[in-house]
Amino acid sequence: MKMTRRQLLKYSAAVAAASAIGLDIALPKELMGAEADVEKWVKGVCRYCGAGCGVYAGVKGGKVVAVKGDKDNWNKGFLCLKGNFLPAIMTSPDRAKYPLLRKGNDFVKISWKEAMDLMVDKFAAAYTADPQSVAFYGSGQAYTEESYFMNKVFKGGLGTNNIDGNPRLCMASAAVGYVSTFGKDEPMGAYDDMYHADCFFIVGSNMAEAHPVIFRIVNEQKKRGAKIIMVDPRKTLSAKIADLHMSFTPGTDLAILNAMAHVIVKENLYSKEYVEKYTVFKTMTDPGPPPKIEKTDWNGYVKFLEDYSPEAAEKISGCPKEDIIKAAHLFVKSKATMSFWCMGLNQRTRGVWVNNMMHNLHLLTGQINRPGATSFSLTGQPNACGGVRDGGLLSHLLPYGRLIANEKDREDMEKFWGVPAGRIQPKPGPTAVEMFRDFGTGKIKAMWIACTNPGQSLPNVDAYRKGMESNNTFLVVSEAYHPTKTSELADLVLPAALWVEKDGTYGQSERRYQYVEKAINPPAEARPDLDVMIEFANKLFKKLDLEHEAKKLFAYKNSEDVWNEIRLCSKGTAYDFMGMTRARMKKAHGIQWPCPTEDHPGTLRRYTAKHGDPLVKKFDPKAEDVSFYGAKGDGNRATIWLRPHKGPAEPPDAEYPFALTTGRQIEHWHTGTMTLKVPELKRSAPTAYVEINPRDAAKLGVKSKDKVKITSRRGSIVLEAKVMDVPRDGLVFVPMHYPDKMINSLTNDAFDALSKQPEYKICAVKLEKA
Amino acid sequence: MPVTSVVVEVIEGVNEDLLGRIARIPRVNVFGMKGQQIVTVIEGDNVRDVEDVVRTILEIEGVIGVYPVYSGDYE
Repeated sequence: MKMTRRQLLKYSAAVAAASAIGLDIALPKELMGAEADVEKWVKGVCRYCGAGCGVYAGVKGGKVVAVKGDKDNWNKGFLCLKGNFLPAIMTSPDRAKYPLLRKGNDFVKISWKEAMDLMVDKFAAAYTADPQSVAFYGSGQAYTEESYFMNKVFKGGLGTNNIDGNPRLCMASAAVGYVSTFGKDEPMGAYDDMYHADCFFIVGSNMAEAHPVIFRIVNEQKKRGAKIIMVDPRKTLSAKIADLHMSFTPGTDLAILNAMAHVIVKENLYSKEYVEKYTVFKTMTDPGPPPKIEKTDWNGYVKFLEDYSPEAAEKISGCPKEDIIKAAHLFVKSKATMSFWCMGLNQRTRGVWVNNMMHNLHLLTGQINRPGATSFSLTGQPNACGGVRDGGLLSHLLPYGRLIANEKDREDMEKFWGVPAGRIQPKPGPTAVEMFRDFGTGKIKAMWIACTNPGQSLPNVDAYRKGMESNNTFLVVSEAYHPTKTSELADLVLPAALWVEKDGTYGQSERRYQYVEKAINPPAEARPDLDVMIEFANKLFKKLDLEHEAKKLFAYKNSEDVWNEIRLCSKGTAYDFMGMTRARMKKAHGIQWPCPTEDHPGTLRRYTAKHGDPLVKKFDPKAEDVSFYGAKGDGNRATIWLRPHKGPAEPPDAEYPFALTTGRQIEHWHTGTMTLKVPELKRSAPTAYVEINPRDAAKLGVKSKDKVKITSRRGSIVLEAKVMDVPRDGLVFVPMHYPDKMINSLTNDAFDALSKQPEYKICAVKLEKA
Repeated sequence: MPVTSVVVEVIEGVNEDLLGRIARIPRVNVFGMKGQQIVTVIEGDNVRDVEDVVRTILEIEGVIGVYPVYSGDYE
């Protein structure tokens, strides 16, 4: 019997899912060898989170009509709900199609020539009056080539460090945490470690909703006996699989982590050999700025931990001491323990400290540098790692582990880029919150924002929106959609190509760089950001009588040209991925750096020669196996930091007695600019709500669906209540995704002194029935 | 007319009752199971139907996740 088209598709879909879990299913013989009904499948990466799932986009008639997971990539063919609906984000009626110029309250369509001429004139005028009055705000969703290029334009070309990116808001504390502990940024482990771990210590991460495909693998390990410890003041969907769920007063997890270390030391469960061979001890004796750091020793650390008994930590945090002791025992006694964490730790005024403390536990116990044993920070955006952290777009960084503040690093990059000595400014530029403050005061006169939505995502957002809509400054926004809460404030909107409408590289959480192939053309006059950036840079430099420099600096024909320069820039550094040619990347399902030569397969685990890191012997020839070769100043040793407990910047008090925390839902991603365009996802989760536990709700006289007014010191909002036994007493949760209910009108823009990352996760609010 | 395959992950072992509840949801075809994972294909007249079914499956007690693998719409 002949297969109908629908039957063919149904069985193709079933085969894809079955092969993902290693299941053989019986197929009608008519299906054998049949292909799915698309013209071509184009390999790429999911547009959403930092998990970086491999996907294929199915193209027919110039459109993306299908998507399937890449079964040869780490995600083994699996996607999450959002990834499943990727095709729908491409054809939303809100796609930005033409350059738009603000005229009063309206936007009028203009040509690209007019847009580019205006932009060049405005930036040239601002730069000529004051070279430090122009700025660029980039994104962990932009391709690496785009971020690298703009970094070169601003730092190397224009000689200003007024360039930062939205990973300042989500990953800066993790980055500074890794650098201050290990000497260099980024996790040393890999997703592969999940298959070897016997214990998962998951802190401040609702993986089931924020990184579902990674969560699926963790849950699989539970089935083979792995223990799951979940540390979160909410009983989230993720906590359903926990063997031990540790709830605590928000902001007091530092006390818990120190108390676990106290137990490990007091009961002699630490790895004396590992600590003696591979670590040093440091403490901050003065916060500065700049902070004053002093070395200490094991005895100093033991003395420091005396204040953090489980009993003391229970008094501070509300987490039962028995749970703290149990967690410490599980952590150290399991054969291999893997930690995961995300914004619950990063988006805090003590974000760097608490990141250090996660690494401390692994270093103290030797639960590190081997399969299944590693400290792994999860990333929110698809290219925060590759494009911004690694590529050095943040205002204090230069590419591939180099620092603005380091004279030799500046000299290296000046030579590499071929710019005059002294061109790169020695003082780091303003960070995200500071940059938007400067834009509001007019200190920065012209700003270009690409691929991100700070008009919704900044903390205490209304304060910065006022600055962004000022008539005294010039704001350009490159966006795939209009309006967004940022593009609506722009003077000039540039329509941008989205996802597989352009090609480029993404680098996800486990140091895997992946090439995203172009599959279709962008709509109408939308263009790839890199094309626009190259045109802008050349025209701006011509306007500034620097055409001779532009010819040297910006002569790229395509993204591959930029990628080849990027590879060269990494050569000889602790990132070295010279071996990742575009040709290899097109064939591979991602490659993990370091990958110094074209015949190197990539590096599963860093800092251990036994597990294949080719740079151990290069940077530390005397090392037998483990070497933290990025920490040369500490003899290639990692640092165990003495970090005291310190609570949030704005804890609840008598006037504002609740703690507000914000976060994600499974249906949506970030500020919803893409997922809220998908009718099915929007229908499933249409608007924000406030999650209140039943005890607090009873005291307030609130039931589910009642309207509740939530007020912080910065603003207020009215939301529908969802009464659920999820947040602990005194805590409420609001999802962050909704432009019509911007919870960032209430959040606090206080930031970590070391990383400058804001404290989205905790601020004080009061609630009343509306 | 969209067709989506999903792997349904359950927290405990797959029992007849749970499997039956999933199989009886309109528009769901169960193709097999392995351990605590069930391969299903959801067909709909439009993508809204697929989303409704996914939501229904997620609300079944014992279901911990629904993971799409392949999604096509061939209007």
